[in-house]
Amino acid sequence: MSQGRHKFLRPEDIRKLSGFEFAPRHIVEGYLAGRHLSRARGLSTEFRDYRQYAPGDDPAALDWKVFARTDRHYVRSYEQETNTACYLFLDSSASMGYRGKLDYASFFAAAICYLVARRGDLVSLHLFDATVRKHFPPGSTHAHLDNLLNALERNRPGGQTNLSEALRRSLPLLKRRGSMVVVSDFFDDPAAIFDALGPYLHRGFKVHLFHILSPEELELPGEGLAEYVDLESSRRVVVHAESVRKPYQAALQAHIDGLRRLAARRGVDYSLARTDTHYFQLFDHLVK
Amino acid sequence: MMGVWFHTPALLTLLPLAALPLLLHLLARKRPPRLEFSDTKFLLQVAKARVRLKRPHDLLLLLLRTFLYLAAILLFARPVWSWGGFHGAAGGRSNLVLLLDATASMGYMEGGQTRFAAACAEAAETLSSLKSGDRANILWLRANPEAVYPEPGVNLNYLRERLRQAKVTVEAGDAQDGLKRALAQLENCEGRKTLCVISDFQRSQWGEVVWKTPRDVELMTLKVGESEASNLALSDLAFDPASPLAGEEFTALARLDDFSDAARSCQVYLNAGELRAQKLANAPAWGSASPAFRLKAKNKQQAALELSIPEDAFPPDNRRWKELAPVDSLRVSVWGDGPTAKLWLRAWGTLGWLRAVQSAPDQDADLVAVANWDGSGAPALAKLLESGKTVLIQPAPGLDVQTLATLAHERAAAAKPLDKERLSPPMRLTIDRGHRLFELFKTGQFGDPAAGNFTGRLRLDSADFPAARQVISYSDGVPALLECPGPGRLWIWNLSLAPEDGDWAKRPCFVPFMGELALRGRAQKASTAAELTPGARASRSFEPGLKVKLRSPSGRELPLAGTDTGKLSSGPLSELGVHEWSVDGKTLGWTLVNFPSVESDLRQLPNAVLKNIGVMAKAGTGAFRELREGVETWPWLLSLALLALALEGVVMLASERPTVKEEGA
Repeated sequence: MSQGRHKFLRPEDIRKLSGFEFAPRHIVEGYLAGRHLSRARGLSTEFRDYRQYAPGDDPAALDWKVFARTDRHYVRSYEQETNTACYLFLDSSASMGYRGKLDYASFFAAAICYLVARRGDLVSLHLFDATVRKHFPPGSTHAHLDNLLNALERNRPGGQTNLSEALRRSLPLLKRRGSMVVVSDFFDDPAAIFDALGPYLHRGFKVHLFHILSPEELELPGEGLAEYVDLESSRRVVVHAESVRKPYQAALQAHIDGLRRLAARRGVDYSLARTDTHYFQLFDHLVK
Repeated sequence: MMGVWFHTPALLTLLPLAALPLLLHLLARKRPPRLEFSDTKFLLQVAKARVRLKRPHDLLLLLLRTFLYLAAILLFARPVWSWGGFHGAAGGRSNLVLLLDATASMGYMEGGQTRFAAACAEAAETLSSLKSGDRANILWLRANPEAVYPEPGVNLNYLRERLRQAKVTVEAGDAQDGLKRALAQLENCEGRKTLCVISDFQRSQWGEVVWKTPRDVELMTLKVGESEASNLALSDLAFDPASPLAGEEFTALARLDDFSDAARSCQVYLNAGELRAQKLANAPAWGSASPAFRLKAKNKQQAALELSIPEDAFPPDNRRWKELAPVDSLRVSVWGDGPTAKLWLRAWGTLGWLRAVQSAPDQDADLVAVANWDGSGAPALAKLLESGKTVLIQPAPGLDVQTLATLAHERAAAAKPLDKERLSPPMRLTIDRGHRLFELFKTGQFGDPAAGNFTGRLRLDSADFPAARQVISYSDGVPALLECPGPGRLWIWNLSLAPEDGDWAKRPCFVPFMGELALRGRAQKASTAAELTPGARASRSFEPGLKVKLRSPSGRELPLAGTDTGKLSSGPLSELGVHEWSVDGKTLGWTLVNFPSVESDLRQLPNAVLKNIGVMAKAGTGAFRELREGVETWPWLLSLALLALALEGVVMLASERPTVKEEGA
């Protein structure tokens, strides 16, 4: 547990998080006994089901009482509980620097790191823009958590968003499957993003996408003729704000809908996060 | 020539301000507020899709706003649109002569008022455009053009008063003369000179006018009336024969003209004292009908016949009068000598209803017979024929055929003398039995005009008189009696009555034939020289000392001016109809005033013709003022500015007004 004061994990946040528990609803594979159901069935006290005895099974596993009632050989199987790994991908491109989006995302990421580490699960952090800028392998110690929180504090927005590229480059770094939490503004091609997520999903990762947008991005700020400067590319666009507001909102909504539709199709959790709401609300998708 | 001048031209220096919207547009485009934004991908995507549609809107807005500024500046500069190079703001004294058409056609009713009333209103409006000290005059165009002042004067109120009192006449006018007199009024004026002709510009009256004005005179034409005015007019009434004998049947021939592009039917009424008759006449479009009334002259008493049609929009030409003067005997004047002249006199002397005298050609004779004509007095004879008289000519041997052909309005092939030739064996005659001269001889009771033998004649060639009708000819085709058409009637006699040339004069048919020739050979129409048109003066000779009065058709006694010789003359007659000469209540005669038929055709000169003449305006309130002073265009500019403003609002509302400019990464 972190002892010092961190920008994105304040004592009051820790107090509030005491009522939450990171519990992604899927089976994990782990090597330490933990609280998550493991894919491996075996030594455990949690009964799962019966199955017919097959040659090679341990005869000690036979349920003699069932044999006595049915005159058939059945073997009892048990759920194995294990620890899980949570891989956190935080978009740190320049666009995330718009209206405190990166701070909002960092608070959320810090809370997840805390919740995961508190249960003894492994947590990994990837800071990326067009590529992976910083990578912290899975860990669950207090020191590891401190490192993550310090990294979040030092993190600054910059560079262009290229989530798909970052995901492709991160794939070799993830040794075991687990939960994958991507926090980004997703200013990238949705199809490319989900193409990059394909290998993760294939390996059995449970993917959660948190789409961070500020209210200004959703509404389009400005009045009259305005010059908009792209934070990532420095490209300038002069438009009449009122006249393009509705079409802009429609285009952005189409982009969001596209992400949501692809996520649903691929079994990925997708959440739109407005920075004017508290990040605790996002835990509905992750904790119990 | 059109031009624009400004009340406050100094404000035109502000015209560059019209470029303000463009400048603002350019400046505003360069300095929009700069906003950092996370990603402009969607903005570009939206804007690029719309920029193609929105740019025209922006251009339209730019144009509208530029026009708005322009209109605002011009509005305060107060531009005035003027025609013909007239600049009302120019100083100096103005001289204006109004040539106001007061002829009969101006009496046509249009829109509840006559063209003349509209013209007077325009004239009054025109006068009101003059400043104090300007001079003006009005010249009435009618049979006797008359100006209000001897020269343009400053008392405009009196001119207005005269306009209020003015009435249209039923007279015809000489437009060329009127124009000349109007220009003469301006000749000695100093300052600006304007001649304004206000008329319906009737084609028959103005079509031949030569519009030649001095350079320093501004000529303006102000047209009143519509070109489509249609009219039905009685344009003529003639008798056949012109002066019937008492008891003789005659034909009254009316002429109804249709001045419209549609055929029209109309009842024509003839009022001949106790007798009233009517005929339905069908006149084709732009044509005429000639209803004929068969009447009988009961006695010698003179009568004024009145012809009329139902009233239409132009009533003056719906009535016409003609004096019927039956005679108790025909008067024949025989000029020349020789056996033929003697036998003519003898034959006509036997007829009680005919008085034949040997005299020089007489203007009052019903028939002038010239025997053995050698070509002398040809102009007098031609004049008689021109006036509608009947002339019988026996050419003398050796007369140049060209002289005879000229009198008959024919063109002879070559000059050649008419030779006398002897006929052996004697030759007989062939008559045109269908001719009215021979109707009497159908029964045979009065002999056969074809009977008789001729041994001498003139070698007359019918080819020299192609238009003439060969009433009697010799059996070899040589003409013996030719009837030549023309205003009057010319008979060419080639029947020698000398005893050595034949026995025709001894035949029983001779005297009846001479009677028929005098009676039926007369011209069908009488001369119209005695008829007057409005504006003319009536004159007649009476015995000196008689207290003769002349009354107009309305019963008004007209002043007469006399001479020592007993000839009395009236002033210009202004009323249509029968003017009665009388002494102590006893009628001595009539003077008939008929509508001038040239005024019945109400078609107007096309506007294109008038525009070529000079500056032309259509009648309407202030038309002249507009022409003379120009048109204030500020109301139009204001309207246009407001329209532009409204359009700008509409464009702003209807379009989404984006302008997109990507200025590179």
